[in-house]
Amino acid sequence: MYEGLSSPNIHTPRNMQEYSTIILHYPESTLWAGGTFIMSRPDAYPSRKPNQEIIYLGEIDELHRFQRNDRFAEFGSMVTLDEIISTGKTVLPKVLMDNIENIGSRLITRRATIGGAIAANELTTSFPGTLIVLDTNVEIKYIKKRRLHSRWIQLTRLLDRSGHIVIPSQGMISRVRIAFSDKNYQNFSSVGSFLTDPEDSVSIAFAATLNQDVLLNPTIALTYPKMGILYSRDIDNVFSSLRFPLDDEEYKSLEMIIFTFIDSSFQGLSNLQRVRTRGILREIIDDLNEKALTMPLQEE
Amino acid sequence: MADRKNFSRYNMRCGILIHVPQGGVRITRINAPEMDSRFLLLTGNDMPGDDSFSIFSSSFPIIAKETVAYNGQVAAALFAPDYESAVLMANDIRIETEEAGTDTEDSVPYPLEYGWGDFNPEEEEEGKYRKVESSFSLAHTAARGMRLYTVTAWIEGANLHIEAPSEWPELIRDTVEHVTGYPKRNIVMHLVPYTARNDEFLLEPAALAAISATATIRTGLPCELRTETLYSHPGISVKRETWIDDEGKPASEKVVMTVDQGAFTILPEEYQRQACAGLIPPYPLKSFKAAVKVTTSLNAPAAFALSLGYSEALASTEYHISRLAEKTELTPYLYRASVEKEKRRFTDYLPGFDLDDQKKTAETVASRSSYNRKWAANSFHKRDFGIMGYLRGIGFASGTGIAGFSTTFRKSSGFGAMMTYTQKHNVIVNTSYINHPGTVRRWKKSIADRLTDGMPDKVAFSDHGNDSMDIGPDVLSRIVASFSSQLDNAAKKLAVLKEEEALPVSLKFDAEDSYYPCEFENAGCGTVVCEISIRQSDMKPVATALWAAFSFPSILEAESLRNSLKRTLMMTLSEFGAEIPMDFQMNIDISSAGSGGALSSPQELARGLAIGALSDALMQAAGKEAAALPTSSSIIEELFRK
Amino acid sequence: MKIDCTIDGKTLTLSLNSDKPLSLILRENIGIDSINHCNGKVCGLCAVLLDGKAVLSCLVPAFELNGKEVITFEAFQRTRGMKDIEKAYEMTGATPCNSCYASRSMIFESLIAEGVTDRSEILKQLSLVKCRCMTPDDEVNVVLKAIEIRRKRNVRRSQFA
Repeated sequence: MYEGLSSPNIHTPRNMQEYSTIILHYPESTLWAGGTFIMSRPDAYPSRKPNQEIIYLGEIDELHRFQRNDRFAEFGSMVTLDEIISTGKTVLPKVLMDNIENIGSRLITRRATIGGAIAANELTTSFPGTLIVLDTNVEIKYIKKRRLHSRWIQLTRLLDRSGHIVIPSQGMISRVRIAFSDKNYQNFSSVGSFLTDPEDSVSIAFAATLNQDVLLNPTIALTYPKMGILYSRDIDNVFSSLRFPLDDEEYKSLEMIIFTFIDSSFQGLSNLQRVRTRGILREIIDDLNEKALTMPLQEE
Repeated sequence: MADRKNFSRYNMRCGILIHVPQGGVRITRINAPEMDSRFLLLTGNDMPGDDSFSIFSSSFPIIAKETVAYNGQVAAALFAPDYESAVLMANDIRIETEEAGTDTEDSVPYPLEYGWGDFNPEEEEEGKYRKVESSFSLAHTAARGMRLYTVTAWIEGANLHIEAPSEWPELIRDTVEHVTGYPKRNIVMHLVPYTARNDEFLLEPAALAAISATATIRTGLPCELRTETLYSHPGISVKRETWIDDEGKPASEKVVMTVDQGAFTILPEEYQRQACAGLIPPYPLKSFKAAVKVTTSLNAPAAFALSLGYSEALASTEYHISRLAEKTELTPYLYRASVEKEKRRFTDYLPGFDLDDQKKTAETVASRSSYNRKWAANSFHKRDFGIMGYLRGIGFASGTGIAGFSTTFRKSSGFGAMMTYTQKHNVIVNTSYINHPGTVRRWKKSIADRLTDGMPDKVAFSDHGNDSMDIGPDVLSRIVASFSSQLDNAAKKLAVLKEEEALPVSLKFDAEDSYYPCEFENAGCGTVVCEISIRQSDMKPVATALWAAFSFPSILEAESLRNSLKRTLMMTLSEFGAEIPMDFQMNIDISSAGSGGALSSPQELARGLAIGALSDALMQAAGKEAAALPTSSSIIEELFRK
Repeated sequence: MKIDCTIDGKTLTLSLNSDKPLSLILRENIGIDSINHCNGKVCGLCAVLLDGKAVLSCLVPAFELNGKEVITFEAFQRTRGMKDIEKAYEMTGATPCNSCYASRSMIFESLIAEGVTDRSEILKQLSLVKCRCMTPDDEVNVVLKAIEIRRKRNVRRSQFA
């Protein structure tokens, strides 16, 4: 074997206790969940990184657990996207289900984990954006004063100004709590492949309650894989001020406002991403227009 | 073919190629870290013999010696005890280059010109004829695909063994002999099963085999070289102008096709002939002028891509016919019916033949796809909703297939064979080009039935020619077909001679019993209709359905032919940028004319028609600039932004 | 690191780099060339069965193999399961090309074993294979036909048992 090649040390904790011991010893370790992100990077192997330590989280039982009550579902971070579909198909929000279905083949969703999808360095899935729309909370385990602490935190609070989810250093997502949403309009659309065509892909997750002609509590997150997630209360407020159906002029001004937000957050969006964003927005508005016009009165 | 040696993978060298991304530069230095004896870096200067491989009259370097002639040319090969070591070591190798003046390629042939008639519509009464122009282009493509393949060389006793996927094993043996000096009789080929979607296993495996063989001879160990398949397609540009009369009937036509074959030309004259055959339109003309120019560039060499120019030229012709139809406000299908005669004109490239079968395929496809209705609906909607409002198109292409290489090429390459009935009552066939086990097995059986009481073991094939080409690309199917009947004839004659003359008795014969009066023989025809829509949300051209009908003189295995045509159609659509959605529908009809004529190149025909129909559909959906292939979301988005 | 696993029925102890992808292990250490490795392009041409379930071997690191069973197409092609699929290829007249034959057959097998008959589910799983040698209809027909063949075979077997 070539001298320059390094074989990372693998640590396989079986419980959180063991995990904390290992992470205290090797604070710079790479956390390994399903591995779909790390393994699908071009030239992921062979690597010459010296003294690499990997902590494989797959053997920690606690991280595979799933529980639910009448308000939310709680998943251990090692629950795979495929397991989420099979366990929560009837209760989990539509926007989440649509997102997982959109990721594609079970050969991928069987390995990709919810924790990995949130914590990956780059946006390889549109998942974090959707979780933000659903007001998801995550439990972070972190080291403080050489002890393992944990804390629940809203996912939106982990979103930095550049649109990336930032986990506190030496922190690990251990649980994800997704509230059951009673919003009657949920839409997830994605164009392009986040894995193979990140420069031109875009996804939008949208959830709101459509009450006759107005939207209550709308939330929207736009994800551009190479840029980040665009989520802002200000955009949500723009949607709350609308009365449906929108005519062409109103739609154009809405589109302009949204693009002003996008341009102030991300520079260098590709032309195709702009066209695709516009296309998805148009679909959402057309859909809302149609629903507003056809919604029966008793749903008020 | 011998069995592969089961050597230990831990006792071999693993190789990778090092490329220079930019062509037109000179290598000034290769900076490599210090390597121990387990590593071997091979540059162009390390090749023992001539660092080049030849395809008929063309030859080009295997590893760039000094000048890097094209983008992505191989500058070195690195062998190491394992692939990890090879990859990491290769990352440390720096190739320094400087700008080099571009040399003009002297092997570019003169443009091939062909035509008839001297009718000049510009001299006629003003307004009697109008000019319709079209341009058709396919960009030069050279890209490494996703599929890895390996070429392995090892020495066992006096033999040098090569294991590779190859459409042309004989080229591998020739090249290895040429480069290493190892006698060809001692080079044993082991074929790996493959699917060459774009003839990617025609030329490159030979270069890889020569490098692996050199490494094996240098190290004394088995050497495996690994790379991703290279798909290389020439750039095509066809400009055509036709003068049509007031009824829309074409009277005169001029067409110029320019082919960018990359840094080195491969069979350029044959490419010109094949392309010229595809450029001749099926309708009658008072005058016609065609010119095919081959040019070179800094792109990777490209020639064979399931076709040697015929498919692309045919596609351009079909695309142009639809443009003529637009001027007359008829659907391309109805327009064809109005301008095509019963019989096609005899030319030097294709004989005159009945268009009956072709018209039948067009009728079948047009009615199954409701072509006329859809074409008219698309045109009306587009007019009403403007360019962004309605993005659907339906394309039509109908043409004839040709069989194999041109008569001129086959006369010059002169494949021949000799069949001998020995004193031991065995049969030996000495032939210059065939080596494919499947074909040889079939031939052995048919000869055995006539000469050795049905015992194929008593029939032996040996090859010792220089121009050997065997399973090869699709354009070779005619040679296989004609050689089969020649072998059968020879066996029949020998069956009589062995009873009458003293043994051993031999018969010499050519690969073909007669040459055609034209460059090509028509063999099979077909029609393809392709429906596409451009998805507004992402500007992606999506092929929603395809209808095809083909008619061939004879069909050997209907199911495998259907499979092969389906694959070619799907892969061609996808290769040129159309997405195949989950609800994609394909309807394909194959019939046999029962005439038992020469075998055509079915994939070549299907590819040409699919390209023609796709570009026509894109034209209807998004305008003429969208019809330049390959297309993509970015291209279409840019088009609309303009 | 030392990895103990079973590949195609053989129990092996391999000395490997801990993060080496299974696809490269199979190609380079075991010598199975039908498995592709596309460096993150997600070509879908490296499917194997890991503990009976189809996975893309390029996404599985060596350290995850400890104690697991891998079945590649090399071993699978000699099984009755593959005979069912071959029969389905023959009966539907649709066969994958050499390039994707191994991987597609493995994904077919996982769909057949799970008894998936929903068209969109079948196509979604197969959407990973980028090779365009089969039409979507062909893919669905092969799976449905193979499920039918296997059911009949299982019924016959239980009748004779």
